[in-house]
Amino acid sequence: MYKRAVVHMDLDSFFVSVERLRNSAFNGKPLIIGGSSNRGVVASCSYEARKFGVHSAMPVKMARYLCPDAIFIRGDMDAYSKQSELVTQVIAEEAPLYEKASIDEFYLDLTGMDRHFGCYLWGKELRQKIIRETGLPISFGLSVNKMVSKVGTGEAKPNGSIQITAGTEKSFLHPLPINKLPGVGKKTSVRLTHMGVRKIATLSQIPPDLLTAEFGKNGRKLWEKANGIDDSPITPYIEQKSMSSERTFEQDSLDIKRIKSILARMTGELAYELRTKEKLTSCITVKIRYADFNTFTRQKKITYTSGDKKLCAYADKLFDELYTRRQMIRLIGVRFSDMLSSGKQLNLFEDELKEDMLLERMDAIRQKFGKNVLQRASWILPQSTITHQKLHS
Amino acid sequence: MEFNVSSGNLLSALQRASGAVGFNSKLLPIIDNFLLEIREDIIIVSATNLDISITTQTELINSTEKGGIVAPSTILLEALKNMPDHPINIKVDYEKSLLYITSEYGQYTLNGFSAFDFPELPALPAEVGFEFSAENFEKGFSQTAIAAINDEMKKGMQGIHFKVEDGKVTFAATDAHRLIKNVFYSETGDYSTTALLPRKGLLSALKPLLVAGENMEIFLNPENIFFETSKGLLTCRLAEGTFPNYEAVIPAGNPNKLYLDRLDFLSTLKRISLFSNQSTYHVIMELSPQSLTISASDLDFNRSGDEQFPCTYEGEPMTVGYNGRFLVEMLSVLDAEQIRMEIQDGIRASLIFPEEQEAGQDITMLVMPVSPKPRA
Repeated sequence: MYKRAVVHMDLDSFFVSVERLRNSAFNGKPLIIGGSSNRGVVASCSYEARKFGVHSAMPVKMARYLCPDAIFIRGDMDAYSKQSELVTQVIAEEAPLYEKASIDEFYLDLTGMDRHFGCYLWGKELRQKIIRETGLPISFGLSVNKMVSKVGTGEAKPNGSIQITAGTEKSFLHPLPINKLPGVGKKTSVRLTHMGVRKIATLSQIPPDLLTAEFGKNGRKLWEKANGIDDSPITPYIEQKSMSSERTFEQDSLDIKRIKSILARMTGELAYELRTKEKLTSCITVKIRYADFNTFTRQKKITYTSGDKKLCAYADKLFDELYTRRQMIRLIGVRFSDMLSSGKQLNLFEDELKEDMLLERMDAIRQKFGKNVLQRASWILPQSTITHQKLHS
Repeated sequence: MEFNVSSGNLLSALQRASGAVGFNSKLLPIIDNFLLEIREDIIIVSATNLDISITTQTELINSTEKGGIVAPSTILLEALKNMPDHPINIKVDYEKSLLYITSEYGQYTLNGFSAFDFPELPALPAEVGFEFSAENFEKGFSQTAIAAINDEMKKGMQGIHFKVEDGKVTFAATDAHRLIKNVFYSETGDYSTTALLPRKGLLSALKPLLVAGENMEIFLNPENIFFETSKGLLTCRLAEGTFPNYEAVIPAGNPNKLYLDRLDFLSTLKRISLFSNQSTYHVIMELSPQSLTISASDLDFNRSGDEQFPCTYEGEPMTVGYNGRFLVEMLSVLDAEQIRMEIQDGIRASLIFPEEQEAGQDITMLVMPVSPKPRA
């Protein structure tokens, strides 16, 4: 019996699965998504590629070295979002309460359903339904909280399911290596290994005060995780706090005119997204990464707006303030934060009504025919050779 | 060089000039000092932060010779502050660049710098200036400055537009969402000029030089504005940028008129703004002939508030949204008991006036509404 029952569902190598749905020729072959050039990172890779040591977030160059025969594709974010939406719909139909944690991850709260349905059985049926209706392989873990379920899903993969019943969390977690815990990345696991901690069992026995002294606030969390403690609730709706867009150039660039034009386009596209969500932003941040990986950001509080002309002007100005080294640029990014839905503060001088009407018409055309059909002339590049990454938090 | 001076007199002169000291300047360290110059029976104290300069003077008890020295500001000010008013002796050793201060209590030594290293202060222009009431300047500037904005993108709007023409001295400032125009009728003869005054630093530096009830003389050249009072001379570098053509956006004849008690309205707005979204301060005013309802809500925090109070309203019933903080700031700088709001509609500029303008003054405040729903 579960006092609290949480299911974590995760689509197996999601981007790869979507690509295979679209093109069956990819089936059974090592497939790596993350740009065809050598400068990006691996966004997702098939299990066949993983055998060669490839994993996500690895530089594409390294992946190419490890698995030269793999098929490399750039990926299509729009297609992935669409498929993810289909899965969400199936879950929304069935689950009493769910949280979409990312494009391919879901938490479902099944507390109280055990008596009537049997949570594990219910989960298995849902999993089958998702596979049937979307054709995408998915794994899930069922346990007493989000953290244990997530670790469970990791163990159930690929294409499987697992339940860790109440009271067995510790015995499930303890034999696992520490890097299986969510939030224990490379750096933390190296530090823990230096301390002689390799298994979760060892970590769970270290006094929490000692971990706090070593890792700060995170120390206490580490201890809680190692002991299978996690009180975080399933939050069905997470307010989007910021939106951002980043681009890594295929070749480091010094062509400021072109970079500025790209920045204006990114800002404009993001502003369009802002408007479609009926939001306004009051903080804009611009980011530059130089060729030597030194990264700088600069932000500005502004009167809340969603007009792309204004936002582009601020982005341009921030870029000027930020670009102080005469050095090649590797990446630029722009981010809107402090977002809110509200009426708009009207302006005294600019002919804002005219600008608003123009934007309204442009947005209507974009909604009907696609967002790229209409652009400002200043955004158009001679030949775009860039990889593009969109982030939402 | 050696002189005797009352420590109290010297302290007041240093305090008057201290508004212009470039404290902890990394650009030019010497401006973190006072320039002290002896002219027979007076000592001239100057300070500059390169934007604002002040020159003031005080009487000496006696002195041996003319000369000048640059002395560190903070230590000199603090030493004199902690001394009762009594005669002190200051002796300067030019070779060692040292100041020896002898008071009743003991001796102090300070290092100084050569007066030649101190930056040259802008010279008073040869052209005539005009006289203007010190009180009105202070009032006009402070009432208007709240509408200026600190945004590098809007350079012209960072300053306060200052215009003298046809016996009128006009201050104006705007941040593109609100505007304050403040006119004072004054005997300026046929003097006519326009300038952009910096929003920051000027008034606080000028205040110690102002004398209540006294007029000051104002001079302008293309780079600087000069204020000469009986207590000293302040020079201020003018702000850069072009101020927008604001006269064109002030509407005439907004048909809907709302009459309110300023303090009642202000306290309601202060209360209601607390319940509004703390980024937008969006408050909504529902106007009807008998009453005014002011409401605000912040859905994120499940907060809301509304108040209703009687008013006199001549016009169509309507709903208008404003930034509550703008209204609070604007109403706070007024003195009038009753105010009048003239409203066109929910998307065009509204005007605020004191119901009775003060003698010799004509203030107009303009605020843009907040549109009811997100517009593209």
